[in-house]
Order: sequence, then C-alpha cells, then structure tokens
Amino acid sequence: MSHHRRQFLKSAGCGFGSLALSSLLGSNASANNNPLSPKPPVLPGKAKRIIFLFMAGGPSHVDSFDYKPELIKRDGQTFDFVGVRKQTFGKKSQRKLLKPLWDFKQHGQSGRWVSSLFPHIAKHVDDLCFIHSMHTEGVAHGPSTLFLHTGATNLVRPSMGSWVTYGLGTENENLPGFVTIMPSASKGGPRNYSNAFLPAIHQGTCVGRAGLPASKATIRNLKNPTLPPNTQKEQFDFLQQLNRQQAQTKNDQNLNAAIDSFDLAFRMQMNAPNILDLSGESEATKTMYGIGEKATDDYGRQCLMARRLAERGVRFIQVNYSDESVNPRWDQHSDMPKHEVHARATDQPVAALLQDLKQRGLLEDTLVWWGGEFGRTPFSQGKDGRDHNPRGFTTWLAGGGTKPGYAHGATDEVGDTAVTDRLHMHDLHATMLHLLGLDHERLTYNYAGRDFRLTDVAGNVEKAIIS
Amino acid sequence: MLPISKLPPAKGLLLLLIMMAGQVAHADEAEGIEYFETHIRPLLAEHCYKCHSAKAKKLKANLSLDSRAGWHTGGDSGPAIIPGNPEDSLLIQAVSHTNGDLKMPPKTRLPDTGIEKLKTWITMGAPDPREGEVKKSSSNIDLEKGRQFWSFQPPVAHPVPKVNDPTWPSNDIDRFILSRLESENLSPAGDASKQTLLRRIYYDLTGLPPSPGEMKAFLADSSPTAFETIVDHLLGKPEFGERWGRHWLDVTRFAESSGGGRSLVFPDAWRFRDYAIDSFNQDKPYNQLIREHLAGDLLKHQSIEQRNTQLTGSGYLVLGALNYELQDHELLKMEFVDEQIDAVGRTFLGMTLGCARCHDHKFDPIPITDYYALAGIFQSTMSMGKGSAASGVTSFATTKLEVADSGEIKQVRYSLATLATKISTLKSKPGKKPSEGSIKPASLPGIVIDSTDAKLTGDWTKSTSTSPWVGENYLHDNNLLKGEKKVEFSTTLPETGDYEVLVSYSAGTNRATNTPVTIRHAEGETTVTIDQSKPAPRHGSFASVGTFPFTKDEPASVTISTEGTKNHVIADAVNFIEPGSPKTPPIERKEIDQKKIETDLKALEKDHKSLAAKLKKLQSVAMAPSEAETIADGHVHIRGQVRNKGPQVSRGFISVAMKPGTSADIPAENSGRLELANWIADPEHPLTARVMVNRIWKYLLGEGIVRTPDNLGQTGELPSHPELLDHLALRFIENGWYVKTLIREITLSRTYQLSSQRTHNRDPANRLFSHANRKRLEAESIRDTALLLSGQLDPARGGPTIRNPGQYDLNYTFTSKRRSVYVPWFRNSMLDLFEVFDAPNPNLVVGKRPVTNLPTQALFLMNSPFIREQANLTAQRLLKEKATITDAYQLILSRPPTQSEHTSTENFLHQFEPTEQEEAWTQICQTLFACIDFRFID
Repeated sequence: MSHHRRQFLKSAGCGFGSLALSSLLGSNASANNNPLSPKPPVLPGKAKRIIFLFMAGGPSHVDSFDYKPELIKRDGQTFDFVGVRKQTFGKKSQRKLLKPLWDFKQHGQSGRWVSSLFPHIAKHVDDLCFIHSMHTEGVAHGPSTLFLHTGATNLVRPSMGSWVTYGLGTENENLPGFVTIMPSASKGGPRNYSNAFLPAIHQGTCVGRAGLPASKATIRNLKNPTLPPNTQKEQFDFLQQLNRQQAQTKNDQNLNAAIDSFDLAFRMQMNAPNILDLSGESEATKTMYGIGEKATDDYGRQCLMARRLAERGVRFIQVNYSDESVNPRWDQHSDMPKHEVHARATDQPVAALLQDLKQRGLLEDTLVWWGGEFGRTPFSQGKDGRDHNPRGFTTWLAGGGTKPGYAHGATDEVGDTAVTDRLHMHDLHATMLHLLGLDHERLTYNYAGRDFRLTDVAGNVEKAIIS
Repeated sequence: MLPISKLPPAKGLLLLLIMMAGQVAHADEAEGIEYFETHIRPLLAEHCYKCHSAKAKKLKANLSLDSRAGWHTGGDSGPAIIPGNPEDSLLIQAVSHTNGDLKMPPKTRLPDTGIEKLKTWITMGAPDPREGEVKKSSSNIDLEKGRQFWSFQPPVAHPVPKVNDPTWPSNDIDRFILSRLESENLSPAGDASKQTLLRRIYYDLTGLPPSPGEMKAFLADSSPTAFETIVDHLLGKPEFGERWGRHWLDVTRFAESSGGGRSLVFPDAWRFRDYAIDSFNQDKPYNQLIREHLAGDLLKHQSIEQRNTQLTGSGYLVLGALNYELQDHELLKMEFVDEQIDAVGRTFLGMTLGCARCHDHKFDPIPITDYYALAGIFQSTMSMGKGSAASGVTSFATTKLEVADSGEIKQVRYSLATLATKISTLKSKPGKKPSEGSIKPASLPGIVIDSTDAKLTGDWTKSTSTSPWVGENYLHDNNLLKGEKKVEFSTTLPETGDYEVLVSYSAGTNRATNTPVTIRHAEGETTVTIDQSKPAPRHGSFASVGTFPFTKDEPASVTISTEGTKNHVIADAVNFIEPGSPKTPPIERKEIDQKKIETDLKALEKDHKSLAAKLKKLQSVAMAPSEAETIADGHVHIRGQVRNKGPQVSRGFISVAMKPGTSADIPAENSGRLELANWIADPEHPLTARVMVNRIWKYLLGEGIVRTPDNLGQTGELPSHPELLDHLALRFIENGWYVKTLIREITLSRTYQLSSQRTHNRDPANRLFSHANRKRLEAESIRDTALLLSGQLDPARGGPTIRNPGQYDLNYTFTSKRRSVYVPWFRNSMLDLFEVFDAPNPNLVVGKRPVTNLPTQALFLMNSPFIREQANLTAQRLLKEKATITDAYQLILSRPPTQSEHTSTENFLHQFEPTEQEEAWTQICQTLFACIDFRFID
C-alpha cells in the first residue's frame, strides 16, 4: 500500500469503507485511520446492520397489529380525547370511536394478532417482535418524521443511519455505508438522511427517489450518459495521468486523496450498478417479492435491492414507502379503506424480504425495523378517517437479536395512548443502537462546543425486547 | 421550615390551621407515619427510587424522594409536594400522566390505587419520618475566572516584533509571521509565481478566474505596484461583493426557505442576499453591518433608501431554519428564540450559546441565566408573521419597504381597481352594467354559503344598497363596535384536498381596507385581510383569499371579523372552489360581441398583470423583525423545557464578555436588540473584531489564526498568532471597521503571496503560515467558472431568482445560469452540484466549510450532464477560435501546460479521428475541469 493511499484514508477522503483496504493495510494499520472502516462494537451486539422499512404517513396500529376487542365493542361510542393539534392543544373534546376496518386473527405459534390487512407478514409473526407501546414527539408529519430519523423535531441533527455508520463504519469498500432507497423530498426531505454536523461521509446515499419507478432507481451520476465504458476508461486514464503529473512535485496528501477518490469512484461505477441490477435474480425470487405485479413491483424491487445491499455489507439501508404529496401514503385522514392499497403494495415484499433474509441466514445479524412516524387515532376523523396519533402506536422489529414472536407493551383498551411499558422513540433508538453493539450514551460527536448524541439526553435501552 | 412565628401572619395562621386540621382529622401523627410506612414508602421505593434517591446512578432532575427534605426542597421544578394540597402537588401531576411534559414513572403509569394513596397521604399533610439533607446545586460559574480566558480579555496592542531578516517583510503582518517562524528556526517558502498569484487573487476576491488576456497583461506588467493595482481593481469590481457576500451568507445561515418538515419558501429573502452583496461592495463598516443585522428596523435613518437597507439587514434575525409545523406553539416560539441566540452567538461572537439553554454552559463561563437574559430580548421581538405565531404557517415577519412617492402607489392602486371592475364587468355580465343586484348562489361554481346561513356575532345590518351581492342581501357592521362583531360561514366539504376560498362583498369607498378573514382549514387557522374598498373581480363580487387544505367531512369555516378595521365591513357570502375546477365559472354569454369581448378582456388583463407587477414592486416587503407588542423579561426554562419556568431574569447580554461593573441597561420599553447591537459593535468588545478579522484571514489564507472560526470559546482552538490577531483586530477597529482595507492589507503582505510549495516537513498543519495553504476551489467557483468558460454564464445581478415561488421548496428544478450566489438557496432542496461539492449546510452557521474528497465529486465530474455540457460548449468555442492545447490550458487552468502534460494531451487527441474533433476537445475540456490543478488553488 502506497503511503498516499494510507494518508488518503486518514484524511477522510472517501465515502466508502474498506474492508479490503484495511486488510491490505495489515495488522499495523489502525482501523481508526479510515472513518468508515469497520469498527468493533463497544457492546456485544448481535445485529450488524439495519434495514428500516419506513411506512411514511403513519399506518394505523388499531387496524393492523394492535388488537383491541374493546374498540370493536365500543364502536360509535364517544371518547374523551385531549387535543394535540394546534387549535385544540391540551383541550378536551369528545370523539367517536371507530372499530378496525379489518378482521383480526391470531397467527403462528406465538398467537400474535394480525388483521387481514397483512396476510403475508402474518405468516412471519413468530419472527417478529412487536412494540405496541410506542410514543413519540410532534404531531404533524414533518416534526415527527424528523424525530423518527434524527431524534429531534426541529433542531438540525444527524440521521440515525449516519450515527450508525459513524459508530460502526461499513463493510464494503465499493458501496456507501448508509443507503436510502427512494426517499421523499417531502416531510424534511434530505434532512432525514443528512449527516448534519457529522463528517460528510456519513451522509445517506440516495438510490432513486420517491415518485419515480423503482425499476429506474439508481445512484446519481453513477453512469456516464454519453460514453460507453471502454471509451470512458481511456478518458479516465488520461485524467489520472494528468492528475499524477500535477500532484507529483507537490508533496500534498490532499491531492493524492483526490486522485484516489477518482479511482474509487471509477470502481464504484463498475460495481454498484450490478448490485442494484436485479436481472440476475431468479424468477422465483422476483415472484416472491411481487416484482412484475403492478401493486407490488416498486416496493418489491426496493426490498430486493435492500437484501442485495445487506448481503454486501451496507450498514444501514432504508427502504422508503413514501411519495411526494402533502398527505403521505399511509395518511388516511379520510377514507381509511385506502390503507388496503398500501398494505397490498408492501405486505408481500416485506414478507418476502423476511423469508429471503432468513433462508440466507442474514436475519440473524440483520435488524429489520418496520414502522411509521406515528400511528392513528382509534376514533374517527370525518366519516371513515383517522387522525395522527403520536401517543400510542405499534412498530415491529425482526432479527438482529430481538426477541422473536414477542409483543411488548400495550396501549389503553381502545388503542389511544401507550400505557404499559411505554417505549419512547428515543428508547427505540437507544435499543436499536444497543442491538448493534453501540452504547447510545457513548456514541457522541463534539460539535459547537458540546457532545451530541442521537438520543439527546434521553433514551433507555429496553432489555425486554432483546433475546 | 421556618418557625411559625417568623412567617408572615397570614401564612403562619394558615399553616397552623392546616396542621391543626391534620391533627383533628388524624388523631395523632403516629397514624400518619404508619400510613406512610405501610403504603407510601414501599410505593416510592418501588417506583421512584431508581432515579430519585441516593441509590440512583444519576439523580434525575435533582429530585430526591428518599427524604422529607428531598421532596420539600424539590428538584429543578421546585417542591414536589405541597402538604395538604394534592391537586397542586407536582408529584401528583406527574404520576397522573396528565401533563404532557411531565409523566412519571415515564414508562408505566402507576395503578389508580397507588395514585389515590399518594393523594390521601398528601391530604393528610404528607407525614414523613425520613430525615436527611439535600444538596442544592447552584451555578458554579466563576465569572472572574472565566474572564481570564484569552478571548474574553480585550485585545491589546503588541509592539510589532523585530525580525532577523528585515528585508523579507512587506508589512507588519509579515513581521509577526516571520518573527514566529524565526523563533522556530523555520524560514518562509519562496514567493508564488505571478501566474499562480493572479489566479489565487482572482478566485479569492471575485470567485472567478482571470481571462487569458488579463493574465497576459499582468505578466507583462513589471512595475512593483502591478499586484497592488490588481488588488484595487478587483476590490472595486461588483464580483467582489458576489464572492464575499457569499462568504457572509454562509456565516448568516442564509436560505430562501424555512427547512423543517414542510420547507416554506421565503419569497423575499433574496433582498437579504442582495443586501449582503451590496454591503461588501460598498464596504459598509462592519460595526454598522452588525447594527443593521440585529436592529436594522430600529435605527435612525436619513433617507428612505437607508431605512429600507437597514430594515433588509435585520432580516438576518428572521430567516433562520425553523420547523413551522410544530404544533406546540409555546415550543415553536422558544425554538425560534433559540435559533436566533445560537446564530447571533456564532455569527458575531464566535460563541456556542445554545449550550446554555438547558443548563449552565459546561465549558464556557456562560450561566443559564445569561441565555435567558438574551432570550428575553428575542422574546420581546416579533419574529414570526402574525399568522404563523397564532396558527398558520404561511406568513413570515415582513415589513413594507418605503417608496419615495407614495402617491404613485395610490395612482396604481386606483388604476388597478378600475381595471378590475372593467374586467369583472366584461367577464360576468357581458353587455350589462355590474350594478344589477343579486347573484344567484346556484349560478356559482363550488360550494356557496350565503350570509343567511352564517352564524352572526353582534349586530349586523342587512342591505342591498350597493350591487352586486349574493342571494337576498349582504350584511354590514354599520361601522360600529369594532372588534365585537363577526360572521362565521361554516360547512363541511365533500372531498379532502386544496380548495380555493373566495369571499364576496359589495365594494365601495366607505368599506374597510383591512377586513380580517380567518380561514380554519386542515392545517390550522390562517388570517388574511381583504380590502373591501376595492372591487372584487371574481364572478361579480368575489375575491380570493387563497387556497387551503381541507379534510373531507371536517368542519371548514371562514370568519369575517371587524377587529382593527376602520369603515364598513361587509359580509356577504363565501365560496369554496374544489380542487381541479376551472378558474372561471361557466357564465351564460350572449353570442354577439363575444370575440370583441375576448380581445378587450385580453388587453385589459394584460394591463392588469403589468400594473399588478408594478404595484408589487412598489409595495415590496423585506423580511424583518419588529418590536413585540409585549416587552418583558423572560424566565429561565428549567432543563430548557418550555413549560418548566424558573426565576425571571432581566434582559441582558453575556456576562463574561461584558466589562466588569457594567450592565445592559435596557430601557423597559425596548426589546433590547438595539442595545445588544451596540454592545456587540462596541470597539471594546473582546470578541467582535477578533471573530471578523479571523474570518477574513481564513478566507484569504485558507485557515484562520484561530482554526475554529465560529468558536473562540474554551472548546475552540487557541490562536496560533494571538498577537497578530489582536494587532489586526485593533487596526480593523481603528481604520473604521472597513473590510476592504483589511483585505488589502492582508493580500499585500508577503505572507499571502507565498508559494504553496512547502520547504520543510515540520509544522505539517502549517499553523505558522510558512507557505500558502492550497485551497479547494469551492462549489460556486467550479460552477461559475465552467459556465463562464462555456459562454453560458448569465451576468445579471441581483433581484428575485426563484421561478414561480410556490409554498414549498420541494423538488424545485434549478435552471438558472446566473452566478451561483443568485441560484435559489433552499434548505431542503439544493442544486446537486452545491450539495456534492461541500456547500455549507444552510441550517447552520458555517465559518469553515467542510472539505471532502467524496467519490460523489469524482462521479459528478466524470458523469454529470452539467459538466459534460459546459465542456462541450467550451470545446466548440476553442475549435471556433482554432485554439491550441496551450490555449485550452490557459483558459481553464490559467497557465500553459507543462511539457509532459502537453505530450499526454497530444497523445490523447491523436486517438481520435479527424471527424471526431469536437468529441476529442470536449473530453479534453472535461478532463481539465476535473483535474487537480483546476480543483485546487495553489
């Protein structure tokens, strides 16, 4: 390894980690040289990576995973509710309870309840760890979505994926450590995958964006639009030839780092498209993910890309089910039956991902996280809608050392507020970091005069959900 | 507890009565203690001690519940229990989980029986046998000691050091630099070549490269003042302000949208951008700039122009990043104040004040009370638009700019009103006069609510005096009892979506010009005002008040009020136009004259449009704060929580940076912004000049004398040349705070003009400035140079540049070919080139941009259509001029190729067929745009 290559890694040059490089560096090379080289976790964590299935808009827990017989019984009855919205903040009002629109059944050995919205996911309940007592900050999508991703509703903070790559580095030199597949530009947009004040290498790399078909999703500028690869290689060699001539006499590590970033970029250009290209997958796999079916094609492709990225050592993969509108996808203020459209689009792909990870032995060390920024109210909004509910909702985890077939905590008898074993979003963040072997109180970054962390000054690890 | 005799009589008596009552109700204390031991102690031990006792790993909120004194003294929020009064006891509020901010235990609510027991016990007078003391934490900050830190000491004049080699220095800066180098037995590098120097100074002062002609002229000028001439020339060019204004925009976290969940566009923020550019071009004294930023709306002025400029400068305070969607408005207001304090601290003082929001600063001597002393100033400032503070999220704090001739506005308004009447006449009642009475609700599109179906508050008079009206009649307020009357039109809408809301009134000269209309929609409430003296153009009598989101089957309402109005307020009807309906209602028209009507209409509408644009220009607004209606000192918010108020603090500044023995002296009727501005701009302020001088040094030399330019506190770095920093700071002040003077002095130093070629391997970080730091070509310069050389750069300066500003910055498509400083600068949507090449995060004050080598940069240079297009256009230009390889290097790198570069390029060129010349040169230009010598400034 040349001196300048080593220096390049040290100077935080490249956005991509380097298992291969650090092994080349030999045992003398400190892993700390490259901010993205894999770092040993500080705690014994089972999970090596996270796949976050982001359900934007707030899916209704009482219609999906949080079974509330009392809500069915009291359908249409009035309910005392304390307002969280601007006009009604802190005020009491009476609302009408609305029973779930879908039937619930018990599934699996564990007997977990799942509604008919998610028939495919229902088959995997014995691998899932439900948290029925989630609560969070913010009431509108923007603040809550930012809180979900960054642990702050307003202040500018790094995204969880950035924290994770900051804490653990990544395992593949040719790929970014934090990838977000088809993120929305709305509800905080780039701030949801931003490194904020962490070094720029920890920024999430976008694959496609919401609103475009997943079959077209790729990393920006990854392909040259005009030149075929062999022609471009000639131009590239010419460029590097000039670069070396220019750097030669100057004895400046930064220049060598820039030269190396071109090498890496070119390698990435050669490798990354293959990882995002699903054509090599078997027909059976594609069918399992629902690829080719209108309803499931997009999310199926996204989930399959996620598996391919996970396999290749990407640390944090976010799979967004979101769009670009003012009302994000799961946001059914009216017309709750529309939940069925979104369930249909995601249920089979998510189930396929779980099965695929499991059969490849990846579920062991991959933490799958399914959830939205909040849940929905058990009472109706208008005729058949439900409003946002940050006070009680369900999220589920799978793999990565979580307790399978388990249900943690509870909302009250109608599903309005988390009451038992409440788990705040900060707690969930702390617990997930713990599963990755990171101590949320020690994963800090000094900026503007103080140490910051994902969980601010809060968060408790919930040991009960760890197997 | 005080002996009863020492309490004020009433309190003592009360307490005595309570105690007696307790005694009566519970025969003896033993019974109370037994109740405590049986029910309360186990409960506290099980549910509370983990965090609130001596056993706690970390005592939470400074509250101990394992002794009587613990709850009596209480924690950060005060006493936890008021004996005899469970309702007002914080402990009960916490365990009941009724207060959103205070829920204990945090995870699981106690069973109701447990809460009941606690209430019973407190009602008993909270008998508690547990002895033990609590330590009350107090501020440990020692200001005297704090003031000893270098940056809180006022700058002092140091004698210019003697140097061993008196021939080397060009000015005093060089003497400070050389003397330090000599003391380390180091010598400075050689001078930069003229070529290198010219490219360096051009990019440093204008952000653009010298043309080959300018290079030739400079190389030919052998006079000793050749470089000085160039510096003065560049300082006078408008591009100087575009370059240095951009530096300033980094430091003022400028952006044209709010950021947050829904990132709202600031349509008027461009004025602040132009203001920054102009300020640097005009060489506005920095102390004046400070005053304008913090109190521009309060400064005296001699001309309208001056007033408008100063007002625009104060936009600094209101264009920070904020999530306007936060529903908790107490919190939203506090977040705004926090943003302002944090920004002011970092922009002007190089201090991280945000740390003191929740507790005393852990590192710098800034007690929490200083933070809230500043907070009082900003809480007494109106920083959000009225609508946004009250409910909606669509308006920002703006102030009208003055115009010299207000008569012109009147004239334009009058012409517009006349035109509007003509247009509406032509549109709605072809061939007839407008005054023809009633408009049938059924003839209107959308959902109409007439005044007959509205809810009236106060006395309203029915009338049909002025045409037209909707339905049977319209209502007016008789111009009486202003503020006590309102008319509410409410309904539910059939679909969720964005509806345009129209309000009908019969216009007339005696009508109110500022009738408030409040729309309650899915996102909250928005209040707008309408001018009922102006004719309403839409289907005869309607004016649009905007488009709002409504939720199906949820109440939608529009309320017309008389609050703050003069003259008659009219309430007639409201019309909701559903999404997707045509703008103009279908109206029966006579076939005859249709063509002529349409031609006339077109002409009138064109006139109307241009007049409206003119009026908009005349009536322009600047984002600006103003003094709040209520001026008051603020409270400490314990742990930064909005609803957890501690003691009140007088408005004031940062104690440690104040001269001992002085105080803020803010008059009761002032927010204190002007006083704050004057304090920061004071020549004796220890930080202000140092911070700015250090920033200027950093932009020119690549690194600051203090390498953390936004942090000169304890956690920042120490200055490498403290004497030089003080020397520059004092000169800056003495010379009238002129930035150009300082830039001139620095660039004319020999230190600035050194080669970037290091001559030794000591001091690897070049803290001693023995050679020039090789600087990265910044995002803006990469783009501007590419556009300049390809001939695409649009030279227009200033003015609004957001195409069709919508409500949000979401997915904005960037098409501008203007200089980068004019490209719309949004918080949630940024031009990809800026994002890739380390443009500053506009949510944060950035005095030092990150410098990275991410492969995304390489990918951008290799593959982006933008670079390829500019390379292609540059190639076409070169081919047309029959340029040589040398010319291409001169143009793009401001130097000829070396022998080996020439050979490589020639070889590359020879791989192409003669028919592929354009492609060959395109690739050569692209390669030069990507190569190291383009991306770095030697």
